[in-house]
Amino acid sequence: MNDSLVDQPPGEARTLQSATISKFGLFSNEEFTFSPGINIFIGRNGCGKSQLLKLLYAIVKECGHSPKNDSVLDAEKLEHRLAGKLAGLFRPDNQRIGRLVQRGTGRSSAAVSAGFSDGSTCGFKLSSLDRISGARSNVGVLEEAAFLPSREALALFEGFIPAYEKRELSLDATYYDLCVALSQSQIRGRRHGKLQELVKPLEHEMRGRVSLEGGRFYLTGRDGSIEAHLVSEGWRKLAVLAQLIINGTLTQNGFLFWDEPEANLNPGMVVQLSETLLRLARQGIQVFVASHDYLLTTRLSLASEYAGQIPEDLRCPVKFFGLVRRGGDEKGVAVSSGAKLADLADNPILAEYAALYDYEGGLFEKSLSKD
Amino acid sequence: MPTSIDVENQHFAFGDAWRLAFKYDDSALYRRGPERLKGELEGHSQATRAVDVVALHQAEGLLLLEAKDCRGHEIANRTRIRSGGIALEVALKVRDTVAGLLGAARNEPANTMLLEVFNALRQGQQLTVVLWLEDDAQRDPLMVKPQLQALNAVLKKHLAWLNVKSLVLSSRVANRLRDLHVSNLPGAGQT
Repeated sequence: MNDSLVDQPPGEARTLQSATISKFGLFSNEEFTFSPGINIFIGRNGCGKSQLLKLLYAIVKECGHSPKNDSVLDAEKLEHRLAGKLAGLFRPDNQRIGRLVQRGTGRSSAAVSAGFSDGSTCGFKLSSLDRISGARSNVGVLEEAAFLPSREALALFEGFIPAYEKRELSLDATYYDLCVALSQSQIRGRRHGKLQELVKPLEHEMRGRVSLEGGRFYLTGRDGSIEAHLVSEGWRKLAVLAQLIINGTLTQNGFLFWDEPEANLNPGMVVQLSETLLRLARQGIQVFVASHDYLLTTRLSLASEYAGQIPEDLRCPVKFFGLVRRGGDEKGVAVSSGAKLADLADNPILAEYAALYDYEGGLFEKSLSKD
Repeated sequence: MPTSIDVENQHFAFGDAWRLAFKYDDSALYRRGPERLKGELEGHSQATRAVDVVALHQAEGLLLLEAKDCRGHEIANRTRIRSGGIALEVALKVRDTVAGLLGAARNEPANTMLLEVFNALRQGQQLTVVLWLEDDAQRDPLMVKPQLQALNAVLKKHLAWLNVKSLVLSSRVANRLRDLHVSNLPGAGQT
């Protein structure tokens, strides 16, 4: 792992730069160019946001060497790893990962490729017969990637790992990976001191420090230790993030994927969350977020629009991706992107707020009429 | 009766459905009444405020309307609009206007127009507050309605004590007030 968290602009970190996805799930033929800082995917339910997050996570997680395991990654081994990862993340019936291929007449196959900021690439094909082929990667060592699913994981941590390994649980592999990451010991010493700068605002918000004792998580504040189960889900979400930072899972040049981080957070916490995401990205962690939240997305959009006016530790590149189901006979989703929310061709969050204004205007008009 | 009022670069044309409409903050009613209530308290000057227009609809009750034209003054007004400060400003004007109308009706019992206004303020009668906001700072049309929605939420909170219906309108959205035509005066929107 990298030894220091210095104030390095995200552009110099090793980041996922692009992805081309063909016939995978809802993506017929889409090319993405990512921000080295924060990438936000927005769209209505069923537009493929979580699907995209999981696919990108699988690429980052499996196509590079882990810093902890730099064994040779030949094509066969990579195909095996990818197949297992996709099956675990998407959990199709009977592990039939071919079901992820966009359906057409006869046999079909999906193709996925990705490029990193240092010019390295990786890719693979997936047939509707559940077979991965043509896997290739010259990506080399990548820092850790963490995926935070929409449901908070701290409360279900106790006993989760062995139960999952015995196939007693039906949750997808993001929960398993997260629990494994959470189980890592906290880093102490000088490096821990630097990390505290990122963790302090989180600890202030949840009024305590997170610790793992005897297989259970606790929050320790002025009033002593409280079991993680007994604190609010919003605080547990922040505690998960704090633990991943303190134990070094989230480190410079690492990757954070977060599906609906706003779930169960009050508006004040969402503001805190948006600043934490910006600070993490500023420290060189590439962030991918799927969100439905007006406040979170607007705060990130304003950070992009007013980059020169916000505190320096919050400045980082931000990019929005709007996913919209194609109409008529066309399959899949259309994708638009831009540095601000306003740049997106279709913004369902703003559209709902505009609809709310129209709805209130209609009721207002009716209330004036005595008829 | 049809009445036209020009305020803040806007021309408000009230049609036949309106029994009366007048520019309250420019009226003798206000000038000889609550405007005279002013002074200084602990070093801070205190003054009574007033909305721009008071209008009474034949069937839809009393309307208190405040117009703001922020076009061409983007920087000066941006914070006021985004922070919701402009909504507080309107709510304070509404507070003072209601008090001023009540006082005027008590002082002039023979004034039938004031009696109608006074009756319209009574329990069970519809009371409507509208902020008519012209603002060109928001260039993204998609953001216009969410911004007006957010501003009205603040206005509504400030006016919860009065039990009114409120809305923030603009020429960029549908006008919800019947028989009121609003248009720009020549030169409006130009800096």
